[in-house]
Amino acid sequence: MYSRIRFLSGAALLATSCAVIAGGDGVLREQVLTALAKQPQKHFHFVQEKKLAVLDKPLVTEGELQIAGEQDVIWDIRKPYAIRYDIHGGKIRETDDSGEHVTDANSNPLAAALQEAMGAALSGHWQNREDLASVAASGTLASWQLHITPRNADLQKLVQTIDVDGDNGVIHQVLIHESNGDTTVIHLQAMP
Amino acid sequence: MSTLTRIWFLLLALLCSAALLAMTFNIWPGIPVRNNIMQLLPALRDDAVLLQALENSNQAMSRKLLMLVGNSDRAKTAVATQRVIDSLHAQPFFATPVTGMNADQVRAIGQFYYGWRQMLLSDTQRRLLQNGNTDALQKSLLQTVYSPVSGINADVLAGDPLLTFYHFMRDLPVAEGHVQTVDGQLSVHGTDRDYRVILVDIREDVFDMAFHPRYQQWRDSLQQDLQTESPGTQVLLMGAVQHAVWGASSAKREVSTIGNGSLLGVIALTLLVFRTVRTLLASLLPLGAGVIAGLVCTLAYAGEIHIITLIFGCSVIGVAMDYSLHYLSEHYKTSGDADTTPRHIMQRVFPGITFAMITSAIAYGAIGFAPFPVLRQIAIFSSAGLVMAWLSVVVTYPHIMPPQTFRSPFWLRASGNMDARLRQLFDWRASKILVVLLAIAMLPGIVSLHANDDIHLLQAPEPGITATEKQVQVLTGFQPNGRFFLVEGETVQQVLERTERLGDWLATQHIGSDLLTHVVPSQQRQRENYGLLRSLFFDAAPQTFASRWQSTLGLAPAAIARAQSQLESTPLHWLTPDDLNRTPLQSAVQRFQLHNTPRGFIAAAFVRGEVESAPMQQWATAQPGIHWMDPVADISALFKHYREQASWTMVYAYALIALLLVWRYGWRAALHVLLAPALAAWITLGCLGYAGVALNLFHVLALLLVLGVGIDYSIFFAESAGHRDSTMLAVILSTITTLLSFGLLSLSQTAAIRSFGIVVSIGMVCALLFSPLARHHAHVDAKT
Repeated sequence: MYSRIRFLSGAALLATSCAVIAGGDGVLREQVLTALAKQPQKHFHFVQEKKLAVLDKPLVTEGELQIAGEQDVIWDIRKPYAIRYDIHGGKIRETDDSGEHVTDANSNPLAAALQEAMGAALSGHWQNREDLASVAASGTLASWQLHITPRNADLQKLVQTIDVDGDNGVIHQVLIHESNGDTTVIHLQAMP
Repeated sequence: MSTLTRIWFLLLALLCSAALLAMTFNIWPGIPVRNNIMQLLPALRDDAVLLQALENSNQAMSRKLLMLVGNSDRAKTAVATQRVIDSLHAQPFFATPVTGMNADQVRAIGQFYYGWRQMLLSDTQRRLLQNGNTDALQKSLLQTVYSPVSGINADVLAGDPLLTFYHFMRDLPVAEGHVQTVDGQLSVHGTDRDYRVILVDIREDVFDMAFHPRYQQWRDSLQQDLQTESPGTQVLLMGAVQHAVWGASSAKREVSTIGNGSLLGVIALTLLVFRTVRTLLASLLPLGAGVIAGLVCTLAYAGEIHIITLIFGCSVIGVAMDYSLHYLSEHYKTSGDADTTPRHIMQRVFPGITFAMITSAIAYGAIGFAPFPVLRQIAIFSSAGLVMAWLSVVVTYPHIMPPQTFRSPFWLRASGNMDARLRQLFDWRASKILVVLLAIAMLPGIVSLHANDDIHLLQAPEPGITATEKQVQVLTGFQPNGRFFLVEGETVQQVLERTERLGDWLATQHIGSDLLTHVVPSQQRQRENYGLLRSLFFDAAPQTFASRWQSTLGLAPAAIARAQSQLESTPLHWLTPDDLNRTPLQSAVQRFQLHNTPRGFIAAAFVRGEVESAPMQQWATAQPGIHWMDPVADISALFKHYREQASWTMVYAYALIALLLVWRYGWRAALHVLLAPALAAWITLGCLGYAGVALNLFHVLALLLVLGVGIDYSIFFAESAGHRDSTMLAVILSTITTLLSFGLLSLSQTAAIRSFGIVVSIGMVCALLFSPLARHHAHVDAKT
């Protein structure tokens, strides 16, 4: 049995990783938090690799990620096909060679909340989302790892842990272990 | 005058004064007073079923209150929102507020539909399958699986390998406009703050003025509490109740202004000219009796009274005063003569005031020709009031007024002088030419007249409420325009099938829709969906789509096999609207107002965004059981229709009054009597044209009054015999009281009432100036 709540997006998971950094404690955590809040980077090249238990090969997606505003995110996918997702004002606008299709990001309240948090997080506008997860930090500021464990009961059903690697104010990789065994890794590379 | 008569008179006068004061100070104990604008209008449709559905829809809409609560501090917004929700729960007149959908409710919806997943397809997927376009279907599925925002994982693919259920759920309408769900709460983003959105139904009739104080008290104390507890919190309200409360208080103010203004005018004039308290009380007697009669007859007819009727009722004070003024002028002039008894005085004024009453009653009665409930109320209230006022004068005045002459003959002399001057003016040879030239000069103005039949004539929105409404509309993206479809059928299934046909047509026109069938498809469509779904798993050419998809994606074969097996083994049972009653989608279904009618069932269907009315109407007309409802356009069309009809009614009214006058005065004199109001109406129309005023139904109805009331003055002169000075005094005083009443109507916030006021004011001045023509040029041999 599953319901819409299962349709938590990769973006939302990434959002979790960023948004929840505001929680937890520790000097390093605070340093990372401050560095991320100051980071001006808004444009990334990304490669996302999803490994699903029911598939015999990973799903690899590549493209560009832009943080257009506090809550606006653009996923511009180039491979394996070209499609662009503009997330703005609670709507997801999909554009490909066959036209445009708008869906409601609100249909999953949790995903919508996380999408919003993601925009806010990556744009440096931290939201108060401690209720979502606890965070532990390791390494140094020049090479840190954040280990995020969801607190929210609904999130726990979906996500086991999220590990984020980075240096100073730049995120390099997000690794999401879903509760059902699926994993998603997103490699981020800052673009000019 | 005996002591008993004196006591009776005093009691009657006090009772009537009390009735007058009660009305002008808005004290209506136990009288149901309404201010619903829709009650002003006649039935928009002949069809009782559609009319009832429209009424249901209007009622449902009018009971909604949308609230936006926002503070620049998010924490304060949350606290303030909870405070608002608590206050709503505390009031019995609010239903349970809708604040959003939490994760549990969303999960419940998903779990509910999962049981029917084999009958459900999204519109996009169904269209692709109907066209046999499996390549496009595969492409869209791949996009979904790879999408970083789709949230697809192994569990999803294992349970729904072709993602048909996923797509159906994704396309479910959840929230409109810019409204989002954040943390289970409906929210919108503003420029400087985020707002929480709360939607609540009001259980009471929002147009019942007895409800308004409770609502105002709740609203005002909530605002105060929020400012104390969470300073800087903004609460934006949008709903018919806001307009209703403001409209009612504004209308009450108008009743007071017009009523008190008219009454004070009458009192001042009476004291100034006649200078006795007895005369003052005698003047109030017919007015109060008229108001009581008006109220009683209107309540007997309608069972309730509209606030606009009361506003007009106050203006009748000025007209009802004519009869007593005419009697009193004659009385004060002649009652000192040895051979003049009250009976003689009444005999002299009786034909004049009786004819005046009949013509006024005809004019007011003619206002009620149009099937506008409020116009009928006004017609009944005014006609009954005038008849009663006339009756009070005729029956009581000869008994209650002791012989008395003017304490100061100044006013009588001045009136005599004015009459003489007007006579001189009309004696002047060139006067006729001047009158003709004046009439011709009005022609360009009349020719330039244009019409406006907009519903806003009946509305007087408060700028603050309108501005807040605009703000809410910008923030939420809601643009309610009151236009929608009604879909009928002999069975619920037929309603659903027709709604789907409508949805398919709207899709071809690229118009977004909000339909009941988005949450519960018809059985016919569910059967089609089931067939299409089966074809994906079982139609092999050269291999099934499911197999192709499995190899393309590298999907575990067990996932496809399980879905196939479930499709084969699950017994068919169809989703119906009743099944949704126990789910969080219940409120979403309720707004489509599916209910049974004498012909079967009916439900509403909504279009999104602005659409042109004509193509909707045209398409719906050709479809059985589908009706396009555009009440705003219907009302404008009604105004236009009745404006044209009212113009004809005016012609008939002139003809009827002319016949009466010819019967009494002969055709030449009748022509002269009719000349003054006709000229007054003509000049008024010309003035409106030159002023660039767009003509509406209410201007035309007001012209009827110019005829009905303005002709009184000519009749007084036609009947004046040798008493021109007292007649002139009565006519001047009558004009002043009438002008006061209708002049005050010109100050109304409502365009319709203002139109009446302006037209009658201009018309009355003209009628006064031309009224001496009646006697002066027509040597009337009245059949007294």
